[in-house]
This record gives sequence, C-alpha cells and structure tokens, in this order.
Amino acid sequence: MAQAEEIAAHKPSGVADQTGKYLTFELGKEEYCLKILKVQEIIGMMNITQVPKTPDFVRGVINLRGKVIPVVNLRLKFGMDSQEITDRTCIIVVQIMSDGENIIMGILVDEVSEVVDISADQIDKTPSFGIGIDTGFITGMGKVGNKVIMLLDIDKVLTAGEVEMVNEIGNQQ
Amino acid sequence: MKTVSKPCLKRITEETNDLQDNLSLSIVTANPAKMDMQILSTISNYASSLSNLFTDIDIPLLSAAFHTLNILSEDIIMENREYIPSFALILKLHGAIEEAIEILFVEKKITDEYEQNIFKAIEEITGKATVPETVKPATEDSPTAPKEKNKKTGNVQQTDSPQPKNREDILNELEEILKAVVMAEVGDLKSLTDILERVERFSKLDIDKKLSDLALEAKKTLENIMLDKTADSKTAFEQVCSYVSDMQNTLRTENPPAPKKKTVSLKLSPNIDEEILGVFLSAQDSVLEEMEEQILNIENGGDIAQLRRIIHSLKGEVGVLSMNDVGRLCHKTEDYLDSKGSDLSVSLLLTIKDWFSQIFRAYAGKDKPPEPVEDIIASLEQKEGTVDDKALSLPANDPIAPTIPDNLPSQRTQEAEPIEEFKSLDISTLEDLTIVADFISEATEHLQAADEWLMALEANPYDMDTLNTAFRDFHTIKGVASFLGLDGIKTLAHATESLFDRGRKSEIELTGNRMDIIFNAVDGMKLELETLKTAVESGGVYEPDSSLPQLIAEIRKLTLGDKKKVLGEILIEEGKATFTELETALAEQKKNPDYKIGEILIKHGVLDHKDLEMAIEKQTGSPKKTTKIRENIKVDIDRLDKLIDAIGELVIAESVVTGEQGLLKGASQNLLRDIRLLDKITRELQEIGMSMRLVSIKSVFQKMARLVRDLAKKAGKEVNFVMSGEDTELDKGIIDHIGDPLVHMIRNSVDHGIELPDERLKAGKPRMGTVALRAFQKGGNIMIELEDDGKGLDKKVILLKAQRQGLVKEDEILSDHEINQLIFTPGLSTAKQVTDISGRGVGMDVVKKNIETLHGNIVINTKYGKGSTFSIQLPLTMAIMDGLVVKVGSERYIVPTLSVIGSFRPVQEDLSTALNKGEMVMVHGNLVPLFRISRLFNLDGAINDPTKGTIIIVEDMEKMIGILVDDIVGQQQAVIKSLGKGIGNIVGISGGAILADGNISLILDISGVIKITEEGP
Repeated sequence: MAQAEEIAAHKPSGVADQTGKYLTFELGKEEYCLKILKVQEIIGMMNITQVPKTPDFVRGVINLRGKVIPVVNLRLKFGMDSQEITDRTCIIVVQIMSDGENIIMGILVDEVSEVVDISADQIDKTPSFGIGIDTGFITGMGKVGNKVIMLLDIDKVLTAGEVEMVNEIGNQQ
Repeated sequence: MKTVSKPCLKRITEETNDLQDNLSLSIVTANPAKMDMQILSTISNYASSLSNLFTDIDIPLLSAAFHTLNILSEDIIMENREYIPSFALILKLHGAIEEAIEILFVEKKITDEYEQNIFKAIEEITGKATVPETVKPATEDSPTAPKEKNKKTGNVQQTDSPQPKNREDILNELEEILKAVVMAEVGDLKSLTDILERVERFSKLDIDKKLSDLALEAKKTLENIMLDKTADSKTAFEQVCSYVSDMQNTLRTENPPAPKKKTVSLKLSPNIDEEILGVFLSAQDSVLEEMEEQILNIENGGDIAQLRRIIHSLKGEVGVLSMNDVGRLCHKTEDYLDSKGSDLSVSLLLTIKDWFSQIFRAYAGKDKPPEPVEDIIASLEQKEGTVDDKALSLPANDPIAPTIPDNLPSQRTQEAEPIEEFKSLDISTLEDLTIVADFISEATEHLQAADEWLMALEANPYDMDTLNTAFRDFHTIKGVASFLGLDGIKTLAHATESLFDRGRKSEIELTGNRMDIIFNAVDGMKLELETLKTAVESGGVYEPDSSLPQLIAEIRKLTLGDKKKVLGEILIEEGKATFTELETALAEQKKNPDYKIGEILIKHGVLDHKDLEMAIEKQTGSPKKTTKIRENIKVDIDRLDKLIDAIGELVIAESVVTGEQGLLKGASQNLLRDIRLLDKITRELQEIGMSMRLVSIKSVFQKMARLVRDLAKKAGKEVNFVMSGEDTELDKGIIDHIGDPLVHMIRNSVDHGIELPDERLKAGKPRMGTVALRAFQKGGNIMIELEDDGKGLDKKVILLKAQRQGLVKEDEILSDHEINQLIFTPGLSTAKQVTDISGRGVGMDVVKKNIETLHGNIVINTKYGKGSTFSIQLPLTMAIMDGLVVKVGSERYIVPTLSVIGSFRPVQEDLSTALNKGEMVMVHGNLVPLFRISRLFNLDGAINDPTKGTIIIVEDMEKMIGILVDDIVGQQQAVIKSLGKGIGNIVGISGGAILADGNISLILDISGVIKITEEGP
C-alpha cells in the first residue's frame, strides 16, 4: 500500500510528462507560460541598471536583496517591440539550469496572469511555422479554456541564445 | 648548414611557434618519474606535426630531430622503452632543438656546434634502443642519417615504418586513421593523400585477407573522394570510416588484443553514504598537502613519525570506506617507512602521494583512475628489499629488518615475546551459522564507529566518554567472540580492552605508540572479521591471521606500560651525559633533594636547556604541542557566501537608515547613541565576514616546494627553495587562482633562471641556486615575491627582439624598467626563442593577465647575471574595494580608486583634438588621450561639453588616459559582485556594486576600458 502511494507520488516528475502547474504571463497579445517550479518569485518593476555592451534584450541588472541578477526583456528576446513600462509590468525571477549550474535571472514581462493546471491532454505539439521562426524553446501549445498558451522551456530560452550571444560579443572585443 | 632565408624564418615563427610552445609545455608538465600516456601522446603528436612542418620548410635537421622525438615518445608509449631514462633523452634532445632554433634566429643558420648537439642527442636515442624481441625494432629507420629525411613528405612516422610493429600498433594506427578521416575535408588534398597512403599500406599488409580487402575498398572510396567522383562526400567519408572500423573489428576478433592496461577499480561498497564519501574526499586535499610537506621534510632530515601517522589515519579512514586498494598501499607504505628508517626514497614516496591524490580525484569524478596499485606496491617492495606477504605483517617478520637500526617498539620487543598460537575454527562444524553472521555484522558495526572515537581520542587522550565507548565496543566483541569460540578475536579484543581499561584509570597515557597500536588493533580486528566472513560465506575454515599473535603481544607489551624511564637513562642513551657525570649529579641530588636532576646537570654545564627539554619530552612520551588543538568547523562555501551577502545587505540597509535625515533631525541623545552602536556592530560584522573568506597561502606555497624540487631534479640543477610568510592570509578566491601563475613563474625561474651547478661555479656563485618565495602584507595589499639568484634578464636581447618583433621602434629609447616590463607583452613572450635566451620562458603575458583578473599587478626587477625578482601585488580580498562614484547620464559608475591619479574640470585651453576626432587633454604639461564614457558605452543624456563635466585621469600599467564623466558623486567602499553567470564577462566592467540607495552601479575595469579605447568598441 505504502509502496503504491510512493510510486504515485513520483509519477508526475517524469520528464515526458508535461502535466503540472504553470505560471502564465502576457507579452503583447500573446500568452505564454512556464513551469511554476522554475519560478523563484515575482517582483514589481524596479530600477534596472543598464549594462553596456550587451545585446539589446539584456535590460540590465537589478539588486535582488543584495544579489546582482541580470534581467532579460523577453519581448526583445522574442523579436517583438519594446513595451511601455506600466504598473503591471513585472519581473519574474526564474532559476534556470545552464551547464549543470543554477543561474538566477529575471525576465521582464508585460503582465503576470495566473497559475493554471495544464494536463498532458491539453497540450498540443508545437506546429512548425516554417523557416525563420525558431520554436525550439516552445515545448507545446496549451489549450486552456478558449485560449492558447505557449509552454516555454525557460532553460532553453535563456541559455541557448543568451549566454552564447553575450560571450560572442565579449569575444569580438 | 646553409643559411636560412628570411621568409623561411618568418614561416618558422608563424607556423611552428605555437606548436613548439605547446610541445615545450607538455614536456615541462610531464612528470619525469611517472609516466603519463596522455602527455606522451601529446608530445608525440606535436613532434610529428613539427617534423612535417620542418620538412616542408626544408630544414631537414630539425625535421629529423622532431621525428626522433616522436618515435621515441611512441616507443615509450608502446612500452618498448623504459620511461624514466627515455624521458631524460627527450629532455636532452628537446633542449638541443630549442637551442638550435634560438641560434637559428640569431645567426640565420644552425651553427656546427648546435648541429652536433642535435646529432649527438639523436644518436644517443637511436643507439640505445632496448627493444624486446617480440617487437619489430621501432627505431630501425630512425634518422641516423637525417639528411635523407627531407626527401620524404607526408606523415614521416608512418612512411618510415611500412610494416607496423604488432597488432596493438596496427590498431592504434587504424584509430589514428579513423580520426584523420573524421577530421578530413573534401578539399584538403594533403591530409587525404596522407590517409590514402596509410590505408594503402594496410592493403599490402600480409596479415589477413579480409583486412587487405577492406583496406582496398577504403582506398577506392578515398580516391573517389579526392577525384570528386562521389555524389555525396559526406556519405563517402562515412563509408571510409565504416571500412576502417571494420578493419579494426576484424583485427580484434581475429586476435583479441592484449588485455588493456588495468586501472584501479573505483568500486565502493554500495552502502557507503555519499555524504561521508564527500566529506572524506574534501578533507583529503589538506591531508595530502600535509603528507607532501612531511615527505619533503624527510629529505631535510625530518622525522617520519608524523608521516607515518598521516598514512596510518588515512588507512583507517579508507578502511571504513572500503577503498581497498588505497588501504593496501597505505599499509605497504607504512611497512616501507618502518623498514627503512631514515633511508627512504623521497621520489617513491612522492609518487605514492601522487597516486593517492589521483585516486581521490578519481573518486570525486575529477580524474581518471590511476595505474593499478600493484605497480606501486611492487616498486615499494623492491625498495623495501623484501616481498612479504599480505596485510598486517609487522616489520619484525622481515628478515632484513633486524639489521636495520630502528627505534620502533615492534622490533625492540620482538625476541622476548612468546608467540601464541590461536585455534582455527572449522565453520562447517558449527550448527548455527546465523549467530556467527550476526556477530560479524554486529562487530563490524562497532568497529565502524571506532574510527570516530579513534580520532577523538587522538585529539584528546583523556576524554572519558570516548574511552568508555571504546572499552565497551571491544568488551562486547570479546564477550560474543569467546562464546563462539573465536579464540583469536577474543584474545585481541581482550588485549585491547585491557589497554583501554588502563587508559580509563589513567594508569597509562594513550598517546604516541599506544595510539598507533590502537589503530593497529582496530585494523587487525577488521581483518579478522573479514577473514571470518569469507570463511562463513564459503563454509571454509577460519584461520586467524598469522600476524595476530604479534599484534596481541604488542598490545600487551604496551598495556603493561613500560615504566617511565629515568631521565638519566635517556640522557646517557642520547649521549648527552656520561655515566660519571650522572653519578656526581645524583650524589649531589642526595644532599639537596629539592633540586631536580636535570637542573643539577645544567648547573654543572653538562646539559643545556634544550637537551633537557628534549629528554623530558622523550620521557613523557609525547611532544607538548599535542594539547593545543584548534577546533574547526567545515562550512559549505555557498552558505558562507550567503552569510557574507547578508552582511553586505545589512551594511547597506544600515547606511540607508543612518543616512535618513528626517530620522536624525529630531533624534534624542539615546537614539543617536544607539545608532552609533549599531554602526559599530555592523562594521565589526562586516570585518568578520570578510575575514572568514581569508585562508592562508600555505597550501599554494607547499605545492611550489614540491614543484621546485621536481623541476630542479629534472633539469639537473641544485636549488634551495626558501619560503617565508606562508601564513599570510588571502581571499579564498585569490588563493584558488594564484597557483597557476606562480607555477609558471617558478618553472621559469628554475628552468631558465637558475644555471647549472657548473655554470654557477664559473660565474662565481655558489653551486646551489636559491629560489625564494615570500608573502607579506604591505599597506592594504598582499605582496608575493619570487626571487632567484640566476641569470637574470639580458636587456640587450630583450630590446633587440622587441625591435625585431616591431614592439619597439628602432630609435626608441627605453628605461631599464620599461625594457624589463617588455617581457609581459604578448607579442614578445610568444616568440619563445627570444625569452629563452633572456632567461624567461613562455607566457609571461599570460601570467600577467591572470594576475590582473585578480585585480593585482606584477613587476619585475632584474640584474643581468645576478638574478630576478618578481613582485606580485594583490588585493587582500577581491570582494571589496574603494571607489569613486561617478555620474554619466542617468547611470552611475564606480571607478576603482587604485587606478585614479586625479580629477579636475578642464578649461577650453586644456583640450585639443586630432583629426577632429581623437580628443586630448593637457595635464601638467603632458598630453593625455581623453575618452568619453558615454561614447564608449553608448549612453544617452551625458554631458557633451567637457568643460562642464569632470575629467578623471586613470592609469593602468603605465598607461594613462583621461575619462570624461558628468560629475563625481562620492566615494564609497564597494562590495564587488559579479553580474551573474547569465551575462558573463564584459570588457571594461569588472562587476557591480550596490549603492547606499539600493541601486546597482557598475564598476569600471580600467584596463578593460583602455583596451576598448585601443581596439575600438
């Protein structure tokens, strides 16, 4: 009996299983979400110190209780127009894994919406949009109610382009 | 030899320099006493490439020389040659080559003398080849006549040995081909031809039909690729690969390859707690450091007791973790130490230490497993002069031992003790095996805890709780063992128990020898249990280990507690006093019983205080210092950093609160006093926080001592290494990174700085060179100085080379200081032949760069013929620095005060431009280039008119620039924080700091800023 429970408790952590709680947020008219386990906290907009010689999507660094963490403007990262800062603008602080290391980063989004449960049967595969649109970091399309929410693999979003690009710029100099 | 043309020289510099550097580096890194396959194969690869290149450049002599180097290293890998003597040959030949290349640059040709040197070295190698019969001579066509070499192109090594030597070789060659194929590209005809030739050779090999067929197929495909006949080159390459790997498989199945060289198995018993293993492994660094220190001590006539203790404790610990190989080596090493007394091979001991450190790294997953322990044990036994049987035999068994003077108790007691015989136990006669099994597991449990209390006991021999625990453990074992009729175990447990019992009653002290014997007893008990377990599992006969009676005798002997020796006896033994002197003193003592014998002897002038102290120490059996034990607690560095972060935040929060004007205005006296107190406590806390990251530089220095020793031995030099200030403390982050540059500098000092003994004598210096490494605090900085009394730098050569490299203009006049600093410029030091003559090897620019990343600085002082001194200046901690807070547009930056020379608001007359772009400012009559931070960093909203802003003059490495900022806001101690891994390094920015208002300000890295100004954004 106890064993069965144990197995049940372990089941949802399977890699292939995408069922779970997601934090959804808005970028322009689109809605995205990321696994709630990746989220450390959500903070309101605060003073961001610009860092020169970084790609434009790196908004700068903030002081998160004594820790300096970089903030990425997700709109610019996704090639959208920059947003106006409103009182709804906020920074989602996420923990990502890069090369086996835990990195804390902030992502700047228009608005955080809600936490939703998405089960595997609500998730569709990401359709291909043809050449030029990289969907590698979208793990699937969630259908919640009548909305479509894009499931982000935040590790991929922030590590793949990010770190390399920044390093590249460093190297060029 | 004919003169080499200029373009040729240029090619040598351009094409071979890197390879040569790499080769030198590999050779220098190689351990002369221990073979490292990887390094050897790197050496062989570089040498082979260099040989090809020089064939191409048409300098047959060098090509041949490198070729020989290649062959030689391959021979070593193939085990056709012994490593140690052959490595010396490598060194010799490589030295000759380096010299020749140097002279090539100076004279434009290799003069006869150097040519001869190379020839000699080559001959020595090819002439001395000791080749086992089974293997076709590998060096048969080594270039004894190097002149022929230049006709050959392509892969020299392969062309030379048309018939690969044995299966292993063929397999290796196939592996190489496979690699080459993977690397090859369609257009690269040269390497394709090379592969083709190599494959072709296989098709002609008369080993196996299938092999030849496959080779032919591969050859055809390759030809097609080269002639561009294939539709898809990628598939074609894959085809070739599959042919080659088929060839490998054919070979492997035909004749299974000789068993691969075994490495140590890293298997641990599955019930070992990972955490325990982690703690154990992390502790080993310091243990091994200490071990190394003690080993090196032996060479200076130090005592082996400490080393023995270290190895013994290690043995105990690894026993718990069931790292059997390590345990065995420990044990053997102990035996070796015991058997040899003072006549020990330090090199062998160092090899053992290296083996330990490699295997521990391997356990930690940071290294590959070392060679099998049997190899080392074999060499130990060889040295020991006896091949004795397995574990726990005491040195008294050793037939040679009695002739060797030894002060260990085991030998003293040997003859007198009657040897007991213990009954063996036939397991099959027992009715109920479960009782025995239970006993084994129970006793093992008891013993597992043993190591814990052993350590505790060692730290504090009078701790009653620990003694009681130990006593109970053995008592329990004794009880059950006697019930089961396990005679040996019972007696051992009983003997040990009695020892503890007397310790408990304070009748004897459990220190020194007694502690050793307790360790032995625990180990012996473990061994017995192990034997018993095997017997139970196999249903065989349990036979107590042959060494058991001796161990027990030993324990009993020490339990009885040899009465404390009379002081006089010790003194006579030591030869400090004669019998008559003692007699007189004793007579006097009878008259004045208040005096102590020692005091009387001192009064008589027989002894001095030192002798007496020594004798008393001997009498009491333990040095006094054992009582002083510093308690440490290990803390995860992440947690520590978190604490320091939190303190940093507290400091900021505190300054925000105390800076609040509204609060202070109407404040009462009491509040003001409290705020001051708060301020004081906060500062104190900050200081403590900072000091917690400080560690002594000792560990780094210790490594250097070893390095100097190895290097000097290898180079045949005599070097006295002096250290001082090892206890100086530096930030852990700095300690972690100062090692590499120091290693590099020390290598240079020993390899190039210190001359050979004969040369030194000729120059009127003592035979033995001195390398001194010092650390001390100076102002707010830590200085590390490396001084040698070697050759020093030859300014003329450096200047000449710098001019040739175009680093300095022909007519430019430089000060001595400036010339010396030239060795840190990248262009100069990569051209290695330059710096070798000047007495400094490769890569001083790298050293400088490393030190700069630590916010440090390095300068050199040197006198030609007398020696050089490198001084490294390092900040006490990397975490904190003084800075000027400046405003640029809406952003604020921090300029490190260390780099700031001055600041002022310019008037129009100070400013001038060149080409309407480059701005300059006049400072005290000097023109200084002016740069605007706002432009360098593309910032908006900054002041455009320099006369309304502020110019800060900053300096880095003798270079001065002015930077234009809007205004200086203030000055602040900044806690440097990295911008996070997500952003990485940004040129010109060294990090961020949190300002008093909670915002982040970036810290300018002046050397980076200058770099931007030089190279453009």
